[in-house]
Amino acid sequence: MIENISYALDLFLSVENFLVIGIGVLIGTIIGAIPGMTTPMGVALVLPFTFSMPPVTGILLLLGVYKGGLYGGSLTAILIKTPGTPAASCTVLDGYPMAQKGQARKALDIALYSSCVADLISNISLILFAGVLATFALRFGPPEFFTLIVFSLTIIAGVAGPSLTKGILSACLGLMLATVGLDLVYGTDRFIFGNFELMSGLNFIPVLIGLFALPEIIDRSTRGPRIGGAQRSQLGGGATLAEFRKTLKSVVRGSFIGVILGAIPGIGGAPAAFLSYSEARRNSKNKENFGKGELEGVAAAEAGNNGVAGATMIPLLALGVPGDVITAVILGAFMIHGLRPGPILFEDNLPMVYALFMGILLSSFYLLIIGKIAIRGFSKVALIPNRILYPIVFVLCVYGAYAVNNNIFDILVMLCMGLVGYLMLRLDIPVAPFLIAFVLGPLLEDNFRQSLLLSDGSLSIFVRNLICIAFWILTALSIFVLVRSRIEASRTGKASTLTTGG
Amino acid sequence: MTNKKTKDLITAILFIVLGLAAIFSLIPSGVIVPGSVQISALSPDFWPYTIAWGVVISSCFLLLETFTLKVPEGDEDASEDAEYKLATLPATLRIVILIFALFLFYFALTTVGIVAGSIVLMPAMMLYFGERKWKYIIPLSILIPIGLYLFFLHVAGIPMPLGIFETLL
Repeated sequence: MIENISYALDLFLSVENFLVIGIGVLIGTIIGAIPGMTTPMGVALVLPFTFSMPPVTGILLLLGVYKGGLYGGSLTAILIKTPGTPAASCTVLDGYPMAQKGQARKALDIALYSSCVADLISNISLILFAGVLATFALRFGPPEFFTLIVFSLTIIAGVAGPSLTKGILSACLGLMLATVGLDLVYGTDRFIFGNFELMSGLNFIPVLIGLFALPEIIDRSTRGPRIGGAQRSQLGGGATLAEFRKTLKSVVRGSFIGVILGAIPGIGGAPAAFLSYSEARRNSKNKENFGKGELEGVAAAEAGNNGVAGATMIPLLALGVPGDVITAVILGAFMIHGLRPGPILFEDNLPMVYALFMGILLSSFYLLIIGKIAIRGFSKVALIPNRILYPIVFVLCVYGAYAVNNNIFDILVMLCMGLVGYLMLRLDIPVAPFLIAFVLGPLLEDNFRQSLLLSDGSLSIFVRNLICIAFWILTALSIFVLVRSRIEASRTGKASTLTTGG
Repeated sequence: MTNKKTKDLITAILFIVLGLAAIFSLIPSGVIVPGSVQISALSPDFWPYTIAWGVVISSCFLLLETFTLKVPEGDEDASEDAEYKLATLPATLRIVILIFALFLFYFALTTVGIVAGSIVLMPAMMLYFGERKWKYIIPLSILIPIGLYLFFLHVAGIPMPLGIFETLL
């Protein structure tokens, strides 16, 4: 244990690591604050810059962007009623009315403090639970991993958009695309059609950039200039410690809601923020003030939103299963460096895991410092017009896609995936299940085939023990709940609260 | 039929066609199955066929959903779609032009390289998106591609292709 921590300190204590976390949080905050730029897009654009870095440094940079992005969304949500991220739309409810009253600074301060506390709680949960879960997952063989991935994909397909069926279709597309290349067992061609560039399959990064950045650029080309929210009002005075203390109960509750929902694959920040907000309102003495500029409302929304950040890393690090698009990108970063998250990572690379934990903890403090600066300076970043922003983003995409393999073909893949992503956007098909299925596809197929090799082709291996059966039951239960919620939504005419709306 | 229902219907039909095309054409012609396969579930085409059937079955469910279930409030986004009304060119034509330009850019890359290609593309895109201030367009279009080229070359050790300009350096 002590030896591992000592190795971890060796890995972690470097100027580069301290710098990249700060830079990551800074980039994330800026990206999060720009309406139209999403955190996954930001992480995808930063990913190519990590290729030449050591694994810990590269992954910490991405984590910094992730955390900064979650917070950055709240800046514009409060100041100009334009949430930078979907999860920040809950912060608008009370943050913007506060800004209109001339209390923007107070709302921004509370949003920052709540984000930092929630982030810290989430990080500690990650440190406490990831190892335990990984130890348990050491008992998993191919059939257990197969059923776990089926369960994760079902949840992600169900909650990533308004329709479970569309989510499944999206995941199927991702799985199909993942089969391109040489067959894992026999080494024969699959969908190569004579193009040798496809023999090693499609690279994850051009697919990711194409799916997440290009559709937004294409889509925005048809729209007029962004309609800003209200004019930026006077910032007013900051929040006092006493005011923050009053919201602390909601912050802690919201943080735990974020942790629990974040640890379940696919849920993400938006539902956590809304659930935390509604719980705060239900338990508050000032119920009637919610929606009109209640400090506790801002705190609860931000706590729920940021509480997911560390928790989404639990299934990724412990099981190797990404819970959302950003953790899927981080999984990609691990793979680029020849590492595979999961129980084996805890066995073989424990010092690296500890080094990551140290960096993750440090990111909470960076968030506080950079957040304070952001309140003063970066809110203007949100006003960069799309007509300048998107051409710059496109050029970044081109450089990033090329840098993966020094191959121009990857730029073509990115453009084609951009078209697919745009079509999916117009047809309201969520892209998250596509991407996660694309990442997990080879793992799913590999575990399926390994299981059948072990059992001489008998499918009974997929119900060989309680773990497999439990995952099948959870999968069936998830489908039942999601289908019932859709039927209920059709009857009542109100959208389901289980979904994130794409 | 509402906007969302139309989208669902198009999605269902599109995916049924895709699924059937995969089952009857793409998989038989695109997946090579060796003769030595003993367990059919281990065959290289088993997984693609399973996914393709999954696509067809899910699409049929979506079709059923379109005709039997109502669209919940809030899932319709009329205001978003209303933004597509443009004063200049119809939205669809703008998209077609942009996509065509992006693919043209890709084919030009092989000759002129990424840096020069980006220096030409950036101002074109900015103008297309509506920027008219040359004091922003010119410096950004030159500095960003060159700055990124230098970053990738010196920090990441990745030389971007310069095409016909390679000989100039």
